[in-house]
Amino acid sequence: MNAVRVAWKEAGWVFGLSRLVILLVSYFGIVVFPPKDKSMPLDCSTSFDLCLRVWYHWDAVAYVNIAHHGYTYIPDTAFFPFWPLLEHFGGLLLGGFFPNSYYIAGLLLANICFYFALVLLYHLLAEDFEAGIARRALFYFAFSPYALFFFAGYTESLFVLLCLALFLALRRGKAIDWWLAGLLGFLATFTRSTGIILAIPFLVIYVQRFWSPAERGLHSWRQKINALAPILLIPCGVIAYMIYLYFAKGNALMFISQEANFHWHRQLSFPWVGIVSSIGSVFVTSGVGSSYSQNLLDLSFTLIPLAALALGWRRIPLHYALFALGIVLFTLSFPQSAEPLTSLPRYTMILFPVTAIFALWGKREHFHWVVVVFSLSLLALNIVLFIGHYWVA
Amino acid sequence: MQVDKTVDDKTAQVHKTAWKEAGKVFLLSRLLFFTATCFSVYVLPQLSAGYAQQLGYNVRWRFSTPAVNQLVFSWRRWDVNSFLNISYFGYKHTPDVAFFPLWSLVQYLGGLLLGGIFPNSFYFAGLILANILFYFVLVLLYNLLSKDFDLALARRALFILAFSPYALFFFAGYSEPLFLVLCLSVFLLLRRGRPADWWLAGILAYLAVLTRSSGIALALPYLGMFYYHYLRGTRRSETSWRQKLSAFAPIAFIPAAILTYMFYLYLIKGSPLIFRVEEETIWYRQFTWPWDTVRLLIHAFSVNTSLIIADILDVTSVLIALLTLAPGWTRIPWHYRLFAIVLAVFALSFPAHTLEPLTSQPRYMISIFPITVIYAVWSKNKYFYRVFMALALAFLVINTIFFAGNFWVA
Repeated sequence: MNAVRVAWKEAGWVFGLSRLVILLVSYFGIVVFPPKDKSMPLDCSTSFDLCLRVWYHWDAVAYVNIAHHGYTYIPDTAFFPFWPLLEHFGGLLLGGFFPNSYYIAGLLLANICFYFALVLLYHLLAEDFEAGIARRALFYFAFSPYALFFFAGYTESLFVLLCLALFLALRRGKAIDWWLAGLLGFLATFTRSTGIILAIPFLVIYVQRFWSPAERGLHSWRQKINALAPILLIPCGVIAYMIYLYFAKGNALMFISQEANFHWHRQLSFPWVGIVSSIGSVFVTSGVGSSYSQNLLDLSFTLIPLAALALGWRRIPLHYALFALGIVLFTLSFPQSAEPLTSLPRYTMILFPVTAIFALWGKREHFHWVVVVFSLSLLALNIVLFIGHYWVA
Repeated sequence: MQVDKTVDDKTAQVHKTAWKEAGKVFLLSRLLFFTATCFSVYVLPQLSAGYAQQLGYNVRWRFSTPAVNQLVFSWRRWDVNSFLNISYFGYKHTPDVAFFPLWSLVQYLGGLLLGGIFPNSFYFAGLILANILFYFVLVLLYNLLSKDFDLALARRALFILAFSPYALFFFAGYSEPLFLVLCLSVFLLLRRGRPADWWLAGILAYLAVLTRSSGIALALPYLGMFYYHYLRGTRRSETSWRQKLSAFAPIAFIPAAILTYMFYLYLIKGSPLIFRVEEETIWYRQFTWPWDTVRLLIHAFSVNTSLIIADILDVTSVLIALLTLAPGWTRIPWHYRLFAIVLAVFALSFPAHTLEPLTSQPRYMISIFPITVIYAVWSKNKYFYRVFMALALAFLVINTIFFAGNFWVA
């Protein structure tokens, strides 16, 4: 079987299995577990619409609103536009009924993107490592504790798909691939501001390909410039959104001001500020309230990828490691005031280089089982929380 | 001589590996229960008033003694309470006679060692003993399967058993771990088949029946292995009548256990069959033909109540168990088959005549370890193994949250 077919097959069954687990847990979560502030579970025979919308919570609602109304609600400008734009077209294809068409379009698109992300992840890791590592990585990725956000109508699936596609394009490195990578970087930044970090792997690969002692004399200046120029497309994703905001709202930096002033209260800080503040919250809080548990989970799932990255740094290519570090530092640089590391577990779950490190360590059967048991358990718990309209990440 | 030494070395190696493999699976599964319990007790009630109500405490609590108590006592649910009461008060509350006595007796002795304070000493004794016994279950299962199959299959079986969707009952103070440890010991002894082993197997089967009435299913593998060791082919002529009789006689221990309990009940309650009466009047369990069980199920599904979800889960679990046995039949030794089929038929012959006819059946099914063996055989296919483990783990976690949250599971 050729490599392409293997990738589709491996991705296909991990995708199918993870969707089955998510749907089954969701079903039993709905029919047995009472949602937030309710004493009884939902009765799907009488409130089918509510049951249908169990994945319609938190940011998924914001994206659906943007997809249908645009940025009429100013705080929504904190969400970058590419995902709601796709959701908008998907919603129109499904009849344009608000909110169901857009919500279902979001779910379908997120899952389609995730399937392709798995295919690309297999391709990338099978080439950079080996098929066994790639296979394990797919499993870890699809069943990671916060992988429910690859199912919900969130941006994670699209973002990780674009990042992986960029990595593959850079890996191939034909003349056109640099432009393709630039374009994908543009779209990734247009999806989430963290996409700007993709400039780092771009630059690393470029230097390795054109400026390493062995390669330096092999390429013309024209080739070198042709490969480097598309890096400029990556920040253009942010610039394009700023231009749009300037024309639509009169303030090009509105997305930053909304993040800082609306209930997120995210402001630029040193990366360690959030971690220190979160540790403080965990140890100072005298009760085991919801914020205590949330802080503890946020802190754990920020430190685990960081520790894995530190320990496994030498086992992955440099551009993987720098990309992962860049994303972590970028997201850590904008902590929230009340719950400093809120959403961090979701932001870091897309770090496929960390997944690759786990997959390398997973060669040891015992480590593999520890990862599988804890990931799947926490995933199931998080699904129950999310569909019950509890905050997860 | 050299060959014997090599075989002994190999056996010693397998025993050593069994403790190690069982230890790893045991610890990992206990960690999972601890994590899920913490979630159930500390995270969910903060957010859901209904859940807190179910747990029976105020949402506004702090990490003080009451909160720690909620965690520590979150496994004191359902049958655990009955076993606790029996272990301290005996069968004062007559409906409790439906529970066979050995597990409560063991818990009673453990409780005395922990100070004899009711209910805490007995509750902790139950939890600790159930977990110690489950560790032995894993060790014995590994030993048995490494001999009847191979080491890789034995290792897979440990994972499958410890992380099966209802494996939480191997953590709670239920009788399942004791029952299974006794059944597996009987299987190992019957397999070895030395003269003393038959008597030991008989005594252990006696204890298994004193733990749960379904232990009488052990009579069939006993008979099967007796045939294998003494009546098959040339074995018939190679063994004396005296040897045959000595090996066969201990089977009498199995019905003797029921008689012992009946005699005890006669002495304390005046009726040897009162356990059957209580099962019928309190739990509505009575002997029912399979077609009548199907009729009960159709009725349960036709009445729209909140129990319908429990019915779906019960039926799904039972069907999966039965549908595993059917195609997997040929993949396991025939004494495993006999044990599995009798245990399944026995459990299913006593449905509850309520709107949840198969209540508790998923829990009864986890004691049928040959089903675990079939899954382990099929799990040689890595895709099957991953599918099984993914689904099993997800359901185990959900069931654990519900159990610790005082919802009915099985």
